[in-house]
Amino acid sequence: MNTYAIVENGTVMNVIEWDGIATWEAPPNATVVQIPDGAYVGIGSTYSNGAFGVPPQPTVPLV
Amino acid sequence: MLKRILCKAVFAFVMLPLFMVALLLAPLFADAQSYPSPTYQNVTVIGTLTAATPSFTNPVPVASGGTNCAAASGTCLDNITGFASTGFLTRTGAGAYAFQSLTNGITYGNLAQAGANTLLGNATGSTANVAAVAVTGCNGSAQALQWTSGSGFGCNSSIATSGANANITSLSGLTTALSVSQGGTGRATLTSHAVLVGAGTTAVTQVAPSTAGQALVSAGASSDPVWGLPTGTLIGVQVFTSSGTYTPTTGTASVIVEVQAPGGGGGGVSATGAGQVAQAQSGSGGSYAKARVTSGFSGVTVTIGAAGTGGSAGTNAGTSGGTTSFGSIISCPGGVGGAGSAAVTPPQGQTGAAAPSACTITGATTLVSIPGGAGALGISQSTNFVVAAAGGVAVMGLGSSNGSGSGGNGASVTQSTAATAGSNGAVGRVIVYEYD
Repeated sequence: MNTYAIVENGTVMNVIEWDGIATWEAPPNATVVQIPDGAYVGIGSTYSNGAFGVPPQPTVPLV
Repeated sequence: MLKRILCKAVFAFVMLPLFMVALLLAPLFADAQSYPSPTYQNVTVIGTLTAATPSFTNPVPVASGGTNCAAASGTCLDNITGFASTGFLTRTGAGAYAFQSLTNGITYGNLAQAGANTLLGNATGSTANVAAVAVTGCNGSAQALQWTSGSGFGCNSSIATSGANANITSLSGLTTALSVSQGGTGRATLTSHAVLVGAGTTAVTQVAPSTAGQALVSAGASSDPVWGLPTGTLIGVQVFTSSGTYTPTTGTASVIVEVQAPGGGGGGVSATGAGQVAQAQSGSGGSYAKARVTSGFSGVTVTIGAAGTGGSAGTNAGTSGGTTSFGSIISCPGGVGGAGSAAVTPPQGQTGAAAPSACTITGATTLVSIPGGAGALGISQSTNFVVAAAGGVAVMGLGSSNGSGSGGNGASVTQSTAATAGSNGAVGRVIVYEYD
């Protein structure tokens, strides 16, 4: 199974499972980009010039 | 003078002929003498004819007191009586006789009387004279006369009778089907595997067999039921673990859709030195919804969000699970990725990633909607005792990457341990239950 990034306005809005074969309609105005295996990409990653940025890094204080 | 004349006349016309006859018969009456049989052309006897053994060459006519027959036979009687008919001779009165036909010739009243409760017959089992045959009384319930060869009538007290009875154990030889009003079907044959349907007092109707798996479905009070699937029957289930398009099974009238978004990935941790531990956040579980959709579901896009990946080794957050949706009707966010963690000094505690928001449902009846569970709390009590933050639960998963929708555990290491990646969340899925 392949993983695809749904990119809108340079930002990954969703990450989906898709075999690339089945009929599936992407959201309007979105770009579908396959995520390379092992790439560290998640919702909120940037996508520019064919490269993904790292996903957001929340900081959570220890308790 | 007149008297003399009359005497002469009498002598001439009476006495003279008698004298002449006497002369002729004198030889016949000669005393004790045999004479040759004389032959006369005609003999007229006036008076009484007396003869010892008369013998005549020709039969004496009936009119002359004979029988007009030469030998004894029935003809003699016929001659005398003049009867020509056949039958029983019946004297109907003085000198009156009549014949009755041989058939039905004797009326019952002319038969000899019979004993009480007897019939004329022959009960011997072989040829014999007609005799009185006793008939036993046999008029009780379930009784009937029964003839036994050689012994005659008896009474069978175990026969079927009209009205209620318990003696009929089987029926055979019926040429017409028992009607519905008689408790039958009114049909001589029934189609194999057909279902019988009542039709009042007329013969039952049949609903022919149909496709296997179908059931009889009412067509209303005025029509026979038909084979099919009752409304609301589950006719198919489609499971999506990859994005695609939902194409309903033929006959689908409504669907119940379960949407389970994937879990978020757990955070990774950096390497630890002596006296240090590291403990990352776990990912939360994906949200879940179950809704009934009665329209607008055909051909909708099904999007399966990817499971959140665990943060790579180092202080790297896990990624959130992708949003999973059924068209624009149901949309469920994936679990939130857990934050990564640098090395710290124990004791410390680490919360899990927050729960995602609830699913959004539009144009459907919400049956269940449960946000994913937040990641569990992790604890590091000492440098060598660290309890990882477990991935959050989901409706279809028990946490810690279990099943579907569970969050991934956050990485946790004791002192002097290399950086470690967090665990991936569990995948999402969409299940569509199709009803006709």
